[in-house]
Amino acid sequence: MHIDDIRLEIEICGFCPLMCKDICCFHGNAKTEDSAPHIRHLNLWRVMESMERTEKDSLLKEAAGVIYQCSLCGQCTAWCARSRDIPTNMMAGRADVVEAGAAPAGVLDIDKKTEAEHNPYGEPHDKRLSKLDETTRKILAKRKEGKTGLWLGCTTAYYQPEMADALVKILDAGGVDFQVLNEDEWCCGLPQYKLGLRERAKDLAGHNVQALNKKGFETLVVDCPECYRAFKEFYPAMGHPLGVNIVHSSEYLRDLINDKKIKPGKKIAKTLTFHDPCELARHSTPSVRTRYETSDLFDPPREVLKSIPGVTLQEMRWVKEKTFCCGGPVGVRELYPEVSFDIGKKVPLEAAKVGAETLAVACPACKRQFTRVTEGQGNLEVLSIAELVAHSI
Amino acid sequence: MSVISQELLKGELRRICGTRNVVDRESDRIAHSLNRNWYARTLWARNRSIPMADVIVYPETTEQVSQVLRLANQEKVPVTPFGGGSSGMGGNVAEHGGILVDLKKMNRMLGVNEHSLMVTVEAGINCWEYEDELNNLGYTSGHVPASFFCSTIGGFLALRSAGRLSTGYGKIENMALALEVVLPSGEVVQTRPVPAHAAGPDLNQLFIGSEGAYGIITRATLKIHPYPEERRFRAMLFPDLHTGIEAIRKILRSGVHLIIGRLYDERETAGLFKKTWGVEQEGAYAVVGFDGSKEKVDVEEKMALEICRQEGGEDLGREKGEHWWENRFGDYYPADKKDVDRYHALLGGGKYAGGTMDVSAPYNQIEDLYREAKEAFLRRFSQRYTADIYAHFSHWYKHGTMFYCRWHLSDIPEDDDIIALYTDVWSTIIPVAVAHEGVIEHHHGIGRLLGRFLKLQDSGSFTVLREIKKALDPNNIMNPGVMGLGDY
Repeated sequence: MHIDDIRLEIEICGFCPLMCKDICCFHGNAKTEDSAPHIRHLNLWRVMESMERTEKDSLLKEAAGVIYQCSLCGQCTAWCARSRDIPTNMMAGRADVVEAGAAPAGVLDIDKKTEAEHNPYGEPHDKRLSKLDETTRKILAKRKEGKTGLWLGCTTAYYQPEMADALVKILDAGGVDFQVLNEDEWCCGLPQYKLGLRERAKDLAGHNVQALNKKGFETLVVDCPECYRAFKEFYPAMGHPLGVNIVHSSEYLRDLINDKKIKPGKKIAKTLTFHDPCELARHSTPSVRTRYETSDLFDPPREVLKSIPGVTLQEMRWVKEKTFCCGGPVGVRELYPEVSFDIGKKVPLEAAKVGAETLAVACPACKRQFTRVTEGQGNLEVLSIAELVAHSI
Repeated sequence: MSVISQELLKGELRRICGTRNVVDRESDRIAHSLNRNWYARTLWARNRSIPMADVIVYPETTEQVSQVLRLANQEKVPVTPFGGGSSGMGGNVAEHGGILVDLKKMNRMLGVNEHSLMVTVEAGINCWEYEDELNNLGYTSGHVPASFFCSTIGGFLALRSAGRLSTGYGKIENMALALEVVLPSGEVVQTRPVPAHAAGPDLNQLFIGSEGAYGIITRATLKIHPYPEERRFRAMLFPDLHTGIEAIRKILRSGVHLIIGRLYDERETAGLFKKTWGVEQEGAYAVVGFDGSKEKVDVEEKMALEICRQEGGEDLGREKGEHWWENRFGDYYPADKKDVDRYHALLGGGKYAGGTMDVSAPYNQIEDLYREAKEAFLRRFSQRYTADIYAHFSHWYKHGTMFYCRWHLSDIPEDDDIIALYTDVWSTIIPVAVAHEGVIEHHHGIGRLLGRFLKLQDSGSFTVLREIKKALDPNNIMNPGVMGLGDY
């Protein structure tokens, strides 16, 4: 069992006095006791006991359901005085649950959709780039040989194509010799890995690595933080290292600005606030999680935003390693739609508290989530940092 | 005795609170029982059945709480109120099944009256969120318990909680101005947020500390304070516990407004210095704190230091005092491998037992009580087990103080009954407290674990508590068994 290795960790956390309970985005909204982080560990214990008794019965299924009450955002780990890595343990437990045939129906549905269309949403694979605007498609059509790869990600491609439109136009304006993978870009596999669908994740990773390596990129610019983390951390762990320099789009934009390849010149006279996505701020940042050998990603998005003339950047209270979850990761939205929606309300409220007119994001899942929860709720606009830069150049 | 079918009861509850606010899955019922409660955890870890509610409800309004209690009263179903789950005394464990009313969805701050320095909140508001919101507005509640991140205002009120700044800001019963309580009949009573009155007894104090036996607290108006300009902590080292107690007693007598006095006995001082700074140290370590305007803090700090010096105290400076404050929640987490082994042993191996008791008494009794309690414990248990007991004194008044003792029994033979052993420890220490005008507990409530000892600790007042219970709750539905109020 995957959770055999964390038996002691389960016990320590399961019997800790609850300090991370209310900071947990899921528990903070659902309020049920079994959605608290330490109780999820206790339920891993129940899963383990069930399996040891080889009783793949209702107890296992119920405990299995409980461990999916988690967005894996990692706030509990950042909050814990002992830095207990609850998300990693949940992923191990979920893998066991899937292998035992006890995964919730919603998880199996995501698996089926991925198998059919290479994305967790079941959107048609052959229409992956169909939502990009015409200018973007023209740019992509002429750029087919570059040594810089641009990885869009499923959420951007299907639901936030304007983020890709902005990024493509910026790279084009900056004279970057780049290309995308077109139909060879499949889901990165991290959403499936997180849900315990490890075999599916491996298949996706295997395909993507082959497709990327074939291109011989020197640099891969990744817009989606979840994909970024997949390439940085999970692909090597699954035996699929990528022989390419992986950078997040915020880092790449910062470098383009610093190297004067692009120059934000048009004034945006607005008060902005930036929401750190969990995958960049907590899971990919060595100051928080020292085992990941990545650069610190708190600063690049802020440096990009500050380079835009007229912008006033106001920080919210809950930023960087203490950033709140948006509630939008794959799995939470599908399995617990009401809780997912409620989680998403928190950040826009915090943005309003600091007088922000624009909530800047660096993740398509965050943008999708904040856009839907703020719809019809006032004047807060949600834009990616690339969209803001594109408006300014 | 309830005769309503479980499914009909749940259907009624769903009608009252809405489908999403009624939960009966086993994982949620187990989680409510386990929480911070060693007793239920021990049973669970040994694969023995644990007491659980039949159904959990999460009301969102006082009206829903009222309707739930009317239903429960009509059908004679036991009701257990629940807040943050940080209590270790078992008062929130649904020992008799029935309905558990979790108040965490009643978590709104309803209004801040800045002019009169008071705030009205729903009982399920989390303490950290409450204090954080007040701090944003430039105020503080002054209530900072170790359970800060995982406790609720309703829980504090139900158990007469104290925070770490209680010496300056008082306990929760000193902070409450008004309450809204749903009685077992479903009737809602409200008191008024006046600073004082002479219109009969203070009904707030009847419900504060009643652990849900007299009803469910749904709303409270509490005192707030402007956030202080300066908050300062200072560490001292006294030759021994006695001189430390005398110093803090005299500081309070002098009129200096200490916000905290925390004095460790010699045994705990030695352990704390070794663990924190890696040095051997004799004596009694203390942290004292002050807040308010800078001028006031300067004067009070100077006066307090002078008294400490007169008692032989060595000033260790602000840094060690601030270090304690900055790490004030650290000891609430399992700390290291040693603690893990203890947890593990407690849950599985059965070779360890340990717990805390907080004992309050007047100054003229407290030192004898402390010493005799330690001696009684060691006399009773050190022959058979490896026994350890130590204490710190952490909530101070002009008239007395309290000590928070931690006891540990290791190397317990496998066939010894650990649950009986806990009862043995309480039965050993409580008579010592009674003999010295003391009371157990000072700020954790007594729940089910110590509730049954309440009768021993008074001289007839228990009868009054029981008669009030009978009058308010003739069907004995409200949290039966807490405070020793069992069948009647």
